[in-house]
Amino acid sequence: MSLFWTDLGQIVPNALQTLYIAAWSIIVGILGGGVVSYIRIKKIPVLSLVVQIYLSFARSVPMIVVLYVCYYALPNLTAGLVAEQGIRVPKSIIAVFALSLFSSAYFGESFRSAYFSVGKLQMEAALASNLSKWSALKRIILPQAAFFALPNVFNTVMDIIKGTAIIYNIGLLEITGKSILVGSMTYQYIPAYFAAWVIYIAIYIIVNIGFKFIINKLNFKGEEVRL
Amino acid sequence: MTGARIFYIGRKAEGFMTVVFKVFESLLPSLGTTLTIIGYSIIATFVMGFLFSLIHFSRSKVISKIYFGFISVMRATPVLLLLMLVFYGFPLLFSFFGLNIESWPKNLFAIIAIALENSAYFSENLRSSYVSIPQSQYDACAALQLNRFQALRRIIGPQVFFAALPNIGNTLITVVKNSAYVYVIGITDLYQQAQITAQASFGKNQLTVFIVLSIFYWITCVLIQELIEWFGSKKKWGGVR
Repeated sequence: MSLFWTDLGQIVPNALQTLYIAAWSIIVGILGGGVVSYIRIKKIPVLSLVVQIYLSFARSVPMIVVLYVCYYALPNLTAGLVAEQGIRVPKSIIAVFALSLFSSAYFGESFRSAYFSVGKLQMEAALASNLSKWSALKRIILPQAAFFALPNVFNTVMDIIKGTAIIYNIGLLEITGKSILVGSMTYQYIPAYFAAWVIYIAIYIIVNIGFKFIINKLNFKGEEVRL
Repeated sequence: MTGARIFYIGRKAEGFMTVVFKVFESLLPSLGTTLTIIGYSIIATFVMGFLFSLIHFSRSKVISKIYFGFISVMRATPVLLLLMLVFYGFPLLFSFFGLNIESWPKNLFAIIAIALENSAYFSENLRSSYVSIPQSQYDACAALQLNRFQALRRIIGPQVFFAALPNIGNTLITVVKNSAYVYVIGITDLYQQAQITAQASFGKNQLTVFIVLSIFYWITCVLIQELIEWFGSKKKWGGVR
């Protein structure tokens, strides 16, 4: 049991690495998801097809495979062109890039479904009440769309935080990677993995409380929402 | 000049295709392992998820608290960590009961871990569609004096299945994606084989290997997607969509 506490103490600082990568992936993913959902909603001719292929790809390929593709692509393709070894970018940028490839796809789809679940009448009613298009969007459409999107966004956020578990493969020590390291130092794997597990559950609980808080702020129906 | 150039590009392309073919050939033997794990995991996920989802019909507060605790924990755990926890933790857990499961095959642990993780999602898929079935359907079953099992089998079940189908498709794809992580407990699956192949050529074909690998997974998931859509088209009645 004492081993568990020392392991926990050693692993906790690496939660920052997890959260750092996850936070950037979520920010980039929300921006990318906005673009994806805009293209899908407006049905822009060629881009829409490209985005569909991209969505299918991002849905089906394991994150770890894409992580390695991203990791090897730039140095391999530019080897001999620019420098002897090809271009090297920091590992954290590669990790964020690979994870946001996924988060953009998932965010994009949840934004799109949220947009369609608000309904056209809301916009028409807002315009009829003499709101400008921008303020209608800001005051009427977005709060409702955000309410519909939040459960899905929560799922995606948790998927991203869980997805960061793979980035130790390219040498970034986050919770899982650190727990493997700590475990292999003492050959007592179970306390280390347990400590990592506890940290993940703690993160889940904190994120869950945060989302519940936001969702209750936006709740205009007064129903209880379970994430 | 141009002829020579075209010839050169042609040779290049031919060389690239040979590499792709070689990579493909080296990955092929492990395809069976991955597909076996995927197949059994899907079956185990279905069975466990279905059993868990039946808790929805229980009126006990304690059981439903435990259920939601389980769902939350599974949603919080990366499958990579769960695989290791199951692989190292289960033998310890069973040894408390005096059972020795050290000799169980690794694939079994992988299947248990993937099924544990995804049965939580699968159970939630089913539960959300239990809720989406209007109360009148349940009332009608009660009025026709069907018992619980009959009602589930004949009236509620099919509706639940078709309502949950898109989400079931998502969960199946997640199972396929999760199966790439079984390398952490030392199974030589498709992914691990790809790593070996990438390392074998001193990193020369790294990129090709992983692109071929991603195409493997892509095809598998597209096939599952098609299968789900085919099932969806089998629905014989209108209504809830």
